[in-house]
Amino acid sequence: MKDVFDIIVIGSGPAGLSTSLAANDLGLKVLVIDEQSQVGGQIYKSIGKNLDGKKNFLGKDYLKGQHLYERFISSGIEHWLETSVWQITENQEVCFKRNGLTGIIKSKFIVICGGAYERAMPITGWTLPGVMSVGAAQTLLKSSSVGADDCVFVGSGPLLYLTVYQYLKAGFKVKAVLDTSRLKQIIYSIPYFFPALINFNLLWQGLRWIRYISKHTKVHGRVKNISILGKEKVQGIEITLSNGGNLKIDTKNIFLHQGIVPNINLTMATGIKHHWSQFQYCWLPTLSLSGETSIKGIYVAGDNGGIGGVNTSITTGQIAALDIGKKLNKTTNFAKLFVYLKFLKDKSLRPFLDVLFKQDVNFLVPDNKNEIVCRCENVNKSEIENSIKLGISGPNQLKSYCRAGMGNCQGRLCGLTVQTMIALKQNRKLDEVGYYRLRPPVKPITLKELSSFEEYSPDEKQ
Amino acid sequence: MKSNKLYFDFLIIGGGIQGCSAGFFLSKRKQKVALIEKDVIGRHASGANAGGVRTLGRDASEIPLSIVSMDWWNEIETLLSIKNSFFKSRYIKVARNNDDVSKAQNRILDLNKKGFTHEKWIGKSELKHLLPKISNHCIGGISVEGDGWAYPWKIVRGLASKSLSQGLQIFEKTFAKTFVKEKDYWEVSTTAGKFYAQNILNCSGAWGGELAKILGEQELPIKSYAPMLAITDPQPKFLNSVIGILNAPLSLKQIDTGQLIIGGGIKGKASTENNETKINPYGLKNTIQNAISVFPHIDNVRIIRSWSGIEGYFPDDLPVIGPGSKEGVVHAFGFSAHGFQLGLAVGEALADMSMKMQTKIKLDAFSIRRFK
Repeated sequence: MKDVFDIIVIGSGPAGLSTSLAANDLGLKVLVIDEQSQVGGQIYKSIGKNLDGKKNFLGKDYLKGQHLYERFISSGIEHWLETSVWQITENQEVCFKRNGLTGIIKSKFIVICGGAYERAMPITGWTLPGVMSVGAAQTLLKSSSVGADDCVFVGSGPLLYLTVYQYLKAGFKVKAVLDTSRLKQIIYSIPYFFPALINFNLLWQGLRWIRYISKHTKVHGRVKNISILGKEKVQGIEITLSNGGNLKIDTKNIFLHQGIVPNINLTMATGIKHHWSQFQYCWLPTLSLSGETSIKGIYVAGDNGGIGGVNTSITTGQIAALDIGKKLNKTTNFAKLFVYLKFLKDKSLRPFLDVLFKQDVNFLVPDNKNEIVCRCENVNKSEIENSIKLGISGPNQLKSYCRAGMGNCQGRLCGLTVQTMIALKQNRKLDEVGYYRLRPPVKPITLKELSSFEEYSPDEKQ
Repeated sequence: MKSNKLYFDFLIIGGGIQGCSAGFFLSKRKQKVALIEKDVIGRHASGANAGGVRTLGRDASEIPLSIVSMDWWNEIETLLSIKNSFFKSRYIKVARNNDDVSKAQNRILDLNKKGFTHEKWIGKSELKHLLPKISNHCIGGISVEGDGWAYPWKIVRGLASKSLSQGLQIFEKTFAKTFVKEKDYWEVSTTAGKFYAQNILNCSGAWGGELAKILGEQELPIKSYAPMLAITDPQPKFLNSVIGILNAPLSLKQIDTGQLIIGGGIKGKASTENNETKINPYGLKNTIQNAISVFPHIDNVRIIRSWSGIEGYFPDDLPVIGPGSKEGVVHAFGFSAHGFQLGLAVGEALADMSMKMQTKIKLDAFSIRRFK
């Protein structure tokens, strides 16, 4: 198969946009593929629609995306929206689906910028209608200014506070914020605080959010024993407060968050090597300094390669593009050096945030034995525990015992929970327990689509 | 574990269906037997196959074995004390053109001459009656009542756990490194210490050729591939039979969850060194086209996952089953993607052979010496 492009960039969030812009500047022929109907990814969701300045509540950081967006649009880089990638073959062909048509296309290099998704928080009642992830709530806000009054935010992590801040700024009433972070993490994070000070502006911004939030809503720290109340739908939430007292709050909308993890479904299904990060409590693709994976010619940039936030997403994208440019003799290593320095500065904030908001395994495993863990196949905690007791060797054997992880989402929701449960029950290390073996299609495709894909040729309009 | 010295009369290498079945029959006969498996029970082709349980469409030399196996299948759930694991219905290989029809009818006549009457021709109206949703261009087919499908991993694990209760010792994640023949026993060095056994049963599937060489056989023309499968979202029930196509690759079934499983032996790449298989979309495309040609109404059903195991194939698509050249060795491997149904009869035959008893069925067609 012929190389139609120099680089195919998968995903058009900050990493995808910056990779493609940097590559375009070097004169490389770039194609950007994104599932959504607009570029911007999750963090700059609907950025193209929100340029009128009416949505100040989204904050300055969001509006920074405007610059990237405008540069991208005026660059004329070829981009296919509403296009999803369902497989990268062993010959590094990209299989895609676009407007109901499927095709297969090849390029010299691939940069995967698939971003991140939220960890599940399978606490009691988490599947009741009225419960949503914080990320989903933020998406609604960004894309259609939709929100819910008198809601309750539960969990931990920077995205939680950012979203509460945006919610309040947009004029919605937030009944309470229930923070699940542990006091000890504040202490453990102190050594990482000093290097993080290089990014003083971001730390200050975080403090400002928290001050604003505590002025406008009630924040309860170090809450425990959370259970969501309701039969058919959410009616309220009950918690134990840090002082030992119990609190019940009536609400119809609860937003949960336990941090974000790289979206590894495509990278794993492609056969790229991954390793376990105890620090970020997730699997990461194993990358070179320039972002190249264990498969030569395939790169990962942005949060897909490890959670770093928007600034590091931009710099890792540039580094990947420059590295590829060097291999195609379009630039020197010298250019990369400057971006590396910027990358080191941006990255120095992350260990502090990782430790401060470290995943608490208590929120990954439900308290209640009847609580659903795998939503696709409706498998609850005790069914999984019973299978583990039979002496399964890992998540893959567990799949065939109780069907957990066999559904549509390919373990995005239950993967880390199942892995953690096996490690805890069998007293094994998380990296040794391993993860689901992920397989194409990464996104479901119909029989018709799979039976009709053709090699893409630029002459025919697809 | 490292310094364990373990003595057995029979040592089975490989925890797929053939090895577990041999372990089942030997332990049922109260023999001192162990099974070692380099990964886990049913990890490769035995756990990851389409689960077709068919006597239909087999090479004539395999049919007697397949029919004996079917008798065991009919009792399997009782034998292993398991449920919802084998679903008996029928298998139909559909004819899509006149060429298919004449070939099929010749096949049935030929089988009848050899004394096999299990495969029956069904015409268009009966086909339509059995499969109301079938495409109009399908004009008949060969059918076997009583064939069906099974959950591969439930069967393999069922055999393993029943055997355990009968006294079989199973050592998972145990890799056999060297085999040394002493006077009347084999010394086998493994990653879990040394094993001593009078008889070695080579049931190592895609790895069987390598092991056969270590056990003193000639170089064998075995190749490894990954037969690919795909599974869809659940659908309203429309399919009771397992469906194949005459003269084209396809196996299609609707399992008890309502999901469709589509396979048919299209091969992807496999590596026996690092247990890796690669899904080849071009191969899947072909199988899926065949599926849609028979049932056009499923074209908008979504595939949610594909997978494959690692299987060993011989050029004549027949397995090796029989004694090795050295005393105390029997082989059963290289089933070329249709060994799952045979597994029960093969396990019994392996037990017979290694206990120096007459096998129910003559196995000359599967001799390891046929490649010389």
